[in-house]
Amino acid sequence: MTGLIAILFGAVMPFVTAASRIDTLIKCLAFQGMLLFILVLLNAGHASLAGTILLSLETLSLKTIIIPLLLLWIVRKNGINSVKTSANSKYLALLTATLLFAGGFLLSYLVQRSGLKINALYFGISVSTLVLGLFIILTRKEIFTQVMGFLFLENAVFLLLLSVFQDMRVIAALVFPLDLFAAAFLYGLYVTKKVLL
Amino acid sequence: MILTLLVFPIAAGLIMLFFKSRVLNSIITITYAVALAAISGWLLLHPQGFTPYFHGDSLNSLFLMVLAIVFFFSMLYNAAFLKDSGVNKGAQTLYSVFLLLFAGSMAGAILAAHLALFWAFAGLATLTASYLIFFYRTNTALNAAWKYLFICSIGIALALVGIIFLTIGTGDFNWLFFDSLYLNAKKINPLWLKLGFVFILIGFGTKAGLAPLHSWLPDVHLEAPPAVSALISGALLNVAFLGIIRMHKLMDLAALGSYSRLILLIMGFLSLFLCAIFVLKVKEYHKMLAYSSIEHMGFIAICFAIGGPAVFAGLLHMVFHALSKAAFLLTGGTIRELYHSNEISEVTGLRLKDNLTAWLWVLSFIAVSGIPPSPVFYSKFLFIQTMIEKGLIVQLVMALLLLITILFGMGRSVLIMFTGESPAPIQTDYQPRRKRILLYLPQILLFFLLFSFILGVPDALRDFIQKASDGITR
Repeated sequence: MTGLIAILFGAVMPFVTAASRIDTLIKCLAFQGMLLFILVLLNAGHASLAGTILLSLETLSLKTIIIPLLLLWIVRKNGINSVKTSANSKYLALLTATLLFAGGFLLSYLVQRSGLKINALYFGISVSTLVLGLFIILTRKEIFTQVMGFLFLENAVFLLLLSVFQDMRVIAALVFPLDLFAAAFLYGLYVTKKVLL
Repeated sequence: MILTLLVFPIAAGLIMLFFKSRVLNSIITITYAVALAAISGWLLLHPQGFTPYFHGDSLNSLFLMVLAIVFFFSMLYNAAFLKDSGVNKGAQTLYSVFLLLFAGSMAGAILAAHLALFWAFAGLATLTASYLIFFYRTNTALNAAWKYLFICSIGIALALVGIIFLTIGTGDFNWLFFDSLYLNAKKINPLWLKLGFVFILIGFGTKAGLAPLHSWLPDVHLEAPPAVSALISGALLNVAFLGIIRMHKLMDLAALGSYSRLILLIMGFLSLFLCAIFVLKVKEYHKMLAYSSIEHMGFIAICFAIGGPAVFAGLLHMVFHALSKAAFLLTGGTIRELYHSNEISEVTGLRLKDNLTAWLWVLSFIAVSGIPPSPVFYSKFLFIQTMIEKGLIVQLVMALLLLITILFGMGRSVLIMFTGESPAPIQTDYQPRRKRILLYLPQILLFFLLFSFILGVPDALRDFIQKASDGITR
């Protein structure tokens, strides 16, 4: 079950790279947040209760609801509907995303063979998502899409943390500063209005 | 004691927000700087761990002392700067609170005994600094703050990835205490350690302004208030570099020193090279100072890459650069107030317009560039000596050529500004020298401190730096 959810998490990324509508990107982000919430619950067996509650709240309220809603509000306020991409670059991005997604599986296989005590599938998929997040940041010129790239990258780091740490309190402590950055970006997008967008 | 240092900014910040008094803001920020200096002095003499998560050793106490000195003089300048800023009391107070939080988060990072804690405080410093950069509330300031926040946050996220990789290599999160890491260095899986090092270097290297991750720094210096610029170049870059030094030491202990040295050497030379190119065609003097900071961080990276006595030279250079660059940036702030321009071509005849600022500007250039009798010359001399001893003649020639090019580029711009005809007086009632002695005093005091080293680096300071250097190379 957890494996299937992790694969779904990674499979979102090819859609993200090919998407030209902003609300599609935001929906993908919310969907990934929900998948992370389910993964936290499914991995709660050997974790502390306090840590699990904290991370469940973080993934469900922040990543699945609040951040996407705020982004939608900012988008509507600024009248941004779509991302400027040519069909050619969209095709190349899709190809890259698919290859990286496949590369994630290969990495999982290699990590599993090495006998490390980490969740190999989470690890491979999170690394491929991380690289795709960076890819979005580097290839897109609009500030809004770059921020979206950072938020996907943050989700990837979250999954990477889940692959390595059993203690949810450690994950919560490490994820918190990244959430602060996400909050700063949302505030920045709100303040900047049309200056940067 | 250390915890007081970290709690003080929050408690004092609340008091400042309650009273919203400019005088109180200045008193509190300067008091904090004095407390930082006192505690770092105490830690230099008596290195110790106060809690499991924070400790003072010979290396980080030196960094804390540099932060304290730069913060103290920047806050002195800031007291006068705020008086003339024309910003309302509420915004001034919030700015002062963020200055305290910025210094507090840097102190936290310096004193952190755990890698993840260092990372968290470095992230906090990024967030607080981005607010400070946006002080002028202009579109260009917004762009600079945004660029800084975005680039550094990606760096911080990648540094976290590096920490996760390192945890995989160690197998235990509790091993990430620096002491545990050093103790168990040989047991860490080399592949994960190498991967972790690269990601952490990218992360902290972004904050340290090392090329090719430096692009935020020129824009930030162009837009930030003078005290914030001085703190960024004089303290924040060092703090980020402390993270790199800690990781480099770990690599050395794990017998992977040649790997980290190579990467540091490449980044160091790239920083010098990019600076040499841009400093020749740069049009804004604040950007020129930013490229100079990139150059100096590159130089320090090369010192650490070479190792041996060059590590001592690198640490000494870090101290001298922090003090001289703070003075340079504060003087640059006064020039901006005088001319209302960042363009080198529009700032001519500084000597006629404000003689004291003009000479401070030239002195700053001499101090930063390492022209004798600047103490920076001493660290550069030690660097050259080590390079010759190690037979690295090709690298030495390359470094010297790049340094001379940078010296020429900066010198030309400084002289253009110093000499020439002064432009027609701008309609303003601003007369800094008569009104605000604090716009000059911090730089003068910094130069007294800096040029006192001409008489020789005091034995105490030499011992402290030697201890810190031994701690790294051990």
